[in-house]
Amino acid sequence: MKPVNKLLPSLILTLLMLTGLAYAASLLPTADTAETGAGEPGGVVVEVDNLRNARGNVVVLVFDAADAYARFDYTRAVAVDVLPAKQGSVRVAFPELDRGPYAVVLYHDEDGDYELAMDGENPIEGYGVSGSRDAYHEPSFDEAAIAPGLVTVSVFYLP
Amino acid sequence: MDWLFTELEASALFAWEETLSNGFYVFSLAFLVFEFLRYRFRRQLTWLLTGDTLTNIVTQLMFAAVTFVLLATFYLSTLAYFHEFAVFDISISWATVGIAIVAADLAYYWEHRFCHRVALAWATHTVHHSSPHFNISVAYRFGPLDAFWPVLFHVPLVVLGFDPFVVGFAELFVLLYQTPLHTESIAKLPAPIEAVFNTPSHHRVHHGVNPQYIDSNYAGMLIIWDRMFGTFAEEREPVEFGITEPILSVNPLTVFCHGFVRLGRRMLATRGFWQKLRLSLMPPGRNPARLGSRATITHKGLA
Repeated sequence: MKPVNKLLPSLILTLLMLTGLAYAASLLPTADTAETGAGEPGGVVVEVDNLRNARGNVVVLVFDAADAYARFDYTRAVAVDVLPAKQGSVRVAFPELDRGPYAVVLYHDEDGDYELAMDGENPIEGYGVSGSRDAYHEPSFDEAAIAPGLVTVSVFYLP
Repeated sequence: MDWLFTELEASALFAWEETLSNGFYVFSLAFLVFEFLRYRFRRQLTWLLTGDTLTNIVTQLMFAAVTFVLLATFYLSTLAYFHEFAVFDISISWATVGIAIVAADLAYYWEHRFCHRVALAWATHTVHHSSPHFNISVAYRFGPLDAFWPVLFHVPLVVLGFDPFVVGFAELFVLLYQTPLHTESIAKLPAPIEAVFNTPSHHRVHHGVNPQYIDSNYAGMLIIWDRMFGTFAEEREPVEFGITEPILSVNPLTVFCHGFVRLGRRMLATRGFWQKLRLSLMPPGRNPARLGSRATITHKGLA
């Protein structure tokens, strides 16, 4: 038989302990993970990840027109940038792109010829599109569309 | 140690919940095989025991159906609502999740004690205790409304400022911790562990129907709450498992519903609306016919 007269002090002690725990938790420092925009006041920032080596370049194209995107008509891309590849990830900013929607298409130009090397129908070099789920997913413009801010695009390499 | 304080998305916890539950499930199946071999070796393996184990699995499926169809939404939306009134601003990191686990364990102690001492809650919790056996499959023996009562005890946590998803994760952690405690095959652990943590020994006592073991050791992960609040009992004599009025059935539906069926019968036998209400809120041992005399049923008969 538990003594009933211990119930109220136990409940009060419990509330005190819970409040103490919550207060302690609220005091803990928090290191924020990378914030969107990376400090850019506007525009599009593309974080390219899953790059397999540091050979060649990463060519990043941004389209704002669905038909230009669908045909990969790079002459009508609203922005293009080429940057040296790094193992893992690289980041490129387009501060002037502050309207949207945009679709981002990029490839890991390992051989440095600024073209996406193909073997018939299939790319030999790595490639990525905003909004793509996997190596075989070809998003429509709407699926790929992003607003200004930070977007992460993974590079896929066909085996 | 930076990773401890890095801000987490609530969704990161979902992946961990799944990993942990699946991991424990696989471990439990393997451990069950070991326990069955142990029963066999000790000539304790019977068809009734096997049937009881299968029943445990079925009750878990029924519980999962009730929970995911009805209660999960209720749980999350209630917590989300009360989180609007958060007193402290607590961000989500592994460090705050750790603190939340301790807080959830303390809340669990009271939720569990409530489920033993309030007849309406006991109606669902009795299912878990109703097996006369004690092996890891009993850890998965659930009652219909087992997922309901935690809400009451988690509202204070979200009002204090813990994120609902963090509280959900913490509760899962506290429950999973208790899974491997449901065994007769592990004797008392080294004294420092027995002093602080809930162990198979402490939990055997909790499931015991021996008079000195009844209504004790409510802890989830930390036994210190029972020691602090006067509900601790040490395992000394062999534990008799089950409930004071055994069901004597391995029919999963009988098992799953017996708590409410019995409460329903007791309420029907009680005259008067307020008497019925009192019955549902008082400890489960009350005899309806002698409500006024505060008589209680123990396994030795009326006392």
